Amino acid sequence: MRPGIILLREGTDTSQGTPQLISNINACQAVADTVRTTLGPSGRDKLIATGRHVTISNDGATIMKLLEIEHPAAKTLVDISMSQDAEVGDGTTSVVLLAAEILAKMKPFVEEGVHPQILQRNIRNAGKMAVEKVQELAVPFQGDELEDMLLKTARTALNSKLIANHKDLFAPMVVEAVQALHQGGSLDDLSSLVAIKQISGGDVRQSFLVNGVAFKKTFSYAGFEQMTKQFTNPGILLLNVELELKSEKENAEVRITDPSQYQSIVDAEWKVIYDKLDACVDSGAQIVLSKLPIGDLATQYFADRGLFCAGRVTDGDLKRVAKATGGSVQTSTHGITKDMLGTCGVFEERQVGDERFNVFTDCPQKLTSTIVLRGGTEQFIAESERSVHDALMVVKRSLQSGSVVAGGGAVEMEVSRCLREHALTIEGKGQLIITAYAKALEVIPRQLCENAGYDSTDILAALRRKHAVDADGKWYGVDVINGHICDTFDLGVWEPSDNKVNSFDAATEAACVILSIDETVMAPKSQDPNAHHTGQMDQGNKPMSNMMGGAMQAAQGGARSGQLGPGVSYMKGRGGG
Amino acid sequence: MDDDPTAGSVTLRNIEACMQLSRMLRTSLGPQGRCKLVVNHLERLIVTSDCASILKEVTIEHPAAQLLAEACQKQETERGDNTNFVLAFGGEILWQTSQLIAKMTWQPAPEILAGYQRALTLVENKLLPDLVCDGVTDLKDKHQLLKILQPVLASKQYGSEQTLAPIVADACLTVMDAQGKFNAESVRVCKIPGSSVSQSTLLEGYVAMRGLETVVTNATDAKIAVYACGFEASSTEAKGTVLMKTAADLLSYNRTEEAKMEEIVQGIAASGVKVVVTGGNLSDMALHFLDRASLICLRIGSKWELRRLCQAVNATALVRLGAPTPDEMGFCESIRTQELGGKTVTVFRSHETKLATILLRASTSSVLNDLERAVDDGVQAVVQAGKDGRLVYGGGAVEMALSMALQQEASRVPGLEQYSIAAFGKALEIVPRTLAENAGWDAVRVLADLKASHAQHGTESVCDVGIDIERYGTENDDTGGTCSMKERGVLDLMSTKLAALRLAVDAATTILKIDQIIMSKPAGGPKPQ
Repeated sequence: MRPGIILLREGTDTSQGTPQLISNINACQAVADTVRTTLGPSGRDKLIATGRHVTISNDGATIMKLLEIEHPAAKTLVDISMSQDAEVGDGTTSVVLLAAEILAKMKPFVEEGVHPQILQRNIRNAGKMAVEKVQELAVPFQGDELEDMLLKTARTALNSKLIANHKDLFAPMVVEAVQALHQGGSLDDLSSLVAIKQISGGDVRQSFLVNGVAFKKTFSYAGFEQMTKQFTNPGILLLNVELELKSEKENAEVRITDPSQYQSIVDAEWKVIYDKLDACVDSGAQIVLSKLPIGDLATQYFADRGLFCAGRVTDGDLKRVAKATGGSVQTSTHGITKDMLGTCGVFEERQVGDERFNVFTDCPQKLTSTIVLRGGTEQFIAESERSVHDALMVVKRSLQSGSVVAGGGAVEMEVSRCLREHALTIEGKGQLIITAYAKALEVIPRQLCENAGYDSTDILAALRRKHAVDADGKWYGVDVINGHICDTFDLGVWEPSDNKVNSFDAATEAACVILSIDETVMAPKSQDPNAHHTGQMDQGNKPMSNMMGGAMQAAQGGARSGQLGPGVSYMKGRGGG
Repeated sequence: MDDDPTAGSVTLRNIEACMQLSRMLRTSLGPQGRCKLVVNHLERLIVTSDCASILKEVTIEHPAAQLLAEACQKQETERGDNTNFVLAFGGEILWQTSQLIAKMTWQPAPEILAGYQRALTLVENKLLPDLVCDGVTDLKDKHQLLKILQPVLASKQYGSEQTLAPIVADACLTVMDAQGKFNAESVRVCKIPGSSVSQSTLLEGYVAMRGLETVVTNATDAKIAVYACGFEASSTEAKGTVLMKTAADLLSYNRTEEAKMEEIVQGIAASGVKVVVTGGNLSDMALHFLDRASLICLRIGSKWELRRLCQAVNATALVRLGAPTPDEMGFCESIRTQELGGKTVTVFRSHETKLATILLRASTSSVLNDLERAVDDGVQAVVQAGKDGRLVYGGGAVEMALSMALQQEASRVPGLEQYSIAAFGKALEIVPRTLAENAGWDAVRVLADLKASHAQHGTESVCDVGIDIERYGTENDDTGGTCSMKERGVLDLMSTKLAALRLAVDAATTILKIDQIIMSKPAGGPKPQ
């Protein structure tokens, strides 16, 4: 037998054809299976241990990020989950489920030899129709019901989270925070203007919203306790200056020839700092905040003069204070004028649990708000923060899209019904493919039932019937509490229509990308010891064809794989141990 | 071993290697081509059907196959499109040669190569120009641009061409001068993950992928000063110590530094500049004074991007801090920040300068990157059309017509060349065949149908029958498969096609001339691991 030809660099995996596609689909399903159980109000959480750090979450995007998926095709799912998170903020699990389910429903077609291009084209059409249908179904906001509408969407978003029991507490907070931004016209700056602070200890019910800025008491020096901790309408000076007695510059050196000058140099150094402090006091401010440290001397100096100061305030907090109080951050203490100061109605130091908070309220700019979260454990608060963040994003989206659809699987069922009806009018394979797509959409209500512990087959049958028979049945979804079906729109399970539009779009696109792949070429890693450059061509021990066929095994047993079963071989196994 | 005449033939082994490469990538040809998922040596993930991009990311070991890959890369850099054609045709012509060699002496006769060159000349001078069916006369006509763009984009991003083509066409029109000339670099692409392809838009002017540093975030009719250096107090490179002799020195030391910066900023503000762009660091002190003077400041890290911006606003990048002269200042009508998909971007809009930014949206980064490549190819196609606007029918129609003409022509040539000209013609069939295969047709039957329609076609006009890649409605495998390319509007640039043919033939003949490969051992001892 002739020796094989080495075409590609040694160590390169190539795998091609239908088996490759099937294996990609399997990998995606394996990933979807891990997050499947977290969907919906009855979804369970995942505990992910990354080294010493433990995360408990049921947020799809968070889990996907932490899973460290290595399978190249399955990474696409991580991508869409992330894009959903950035674009909408919620629905990150459903988009992954949807994409994986579409692929799963296409698998039989691939196995039967239907050309993937035909599949893609029909999926794309179906996706387009689904999006159009959602837009058609969406119910626009009415002006005076706005508040109520937003509350409902916030509740729905919180419903599937850890803090679902306290949604009546958080939903109004979230809506109030976003509304404040909306009225100020800076909805886009949500992430920088609304802060979420965590304090462990206490009870979730002790979480509260501050209409203004709040941050934890910073590291302080002697003299801090003597300061006045409460002001009404104070002037607030924001600095980026270090107020401490120290050399002005690292590489400066003082050389004196006359010993009598020594004292003058020492005096000069003190004068530098006192000048700065005087400038602060003279500006008329009662509160001095700095990004950099404020030392003992300055603290006591300010305390003597009835001022309040805090050093080492984080950048984000200082910017929020600047935004809220109308002040601007100064990098120099020279030439401070009155208009550079900010102000607020009330400043006070508040005791929350065993932490002390500096709280600025009644600010002239009513844009910023701070949500302070309390809770038993660190993980619990971290997950609460993610949940509140999702709710914030959802409310923001609702305001932007201005319309809502019913959740609880209702909109998926309705779109599914329409697609099914439409499919019957199509000739040829498209009919089957669009029907399969319609069926894939049912994964959302089905998973909702399963997670709640009900028989999904019965409920789904009831839902399908309701949507097909009853003209008013379009908003019927899963009733996860009673294990039956109900009009979720009436119940107030509302989601912004943008959320659904984006998840249908993203899931369809992801499915198409994966179906379009017929070959994986894996170049060896740069530092891979197997990847030495041989520079010879007649010494290949195995023929090329063998290399191609064996690529999958090679990939599973090779340097870059984990030890889990087929399909998840690329995933760094973390959960199972 | 001895009785197998093929065993020792280097030529045959080279052909085999090239065939493998060509077969591997053939499934990506055309709009219905499948993608490859490439994981490159840095573990980056790329999903694409663009041949040149795939080849760039994998290392090809075999020297003969490398030759073919290089031809493909050259096509990408020169023409930007039809890269897979080079590979598919190059591989096929080598395959046909191996068949010829088998018929002959097991040694590649020089006549074979001569025949290929002759066939190429024939195609170049006579056959292909005869098949020209349409032309781009006016590059400023959007309709005509769309005609070229749609097939190019469809072959990369099938299904999205209707969205992308008008955007690319508008972008090209924006940056064109009165003669229809433009630089392909003037069309920029900005990728933001999220949303879907249909949300992609065109923005006139320059888009920087970051927000502004200062409090003021928008301005109109602004003069712009661009600094290639950092906006901070300059420090000496050599290590120096500030020596102070008296207490007064110590007191004034800090003041001077501040005063200097204040002076610079005030100088800039006094010159009428509203926007400052810096390529390096921005010190807190500088920002403080910029804010005080109500200027806008943007930081751009990459030198390349900075040059782009200079081009967009007609500014000269300065390397020293200080107020710019009026010549050095740039100008733009509006500057503002905008949030897109969770990212803040800064948009410089200007009507005078020629720069367009295509904002691409898609849910995954691999789609985004593939979209970018498609847009690049589209822009390249428009540039090419500006040089030579002659069009031929795509979808395998022109290849089929050439193939048949060549095979007819071959029969008039005496000697061994006859075979090779015929083989050349035969090899061209690879394009319609692969298109049909990739679209899921029974390729053998469809090819026969296609051949028949071309043979029945009269000589008075160009036959426009090609492969029906859309395959709408018809699910029956026994009929259909061909359709009129004229109705579908599938047109290719002749010059691109010709360049691809030339490169493929050159690569193939070079490979066939090789009778021995000598490889030196890599220098030094064993490679460091």
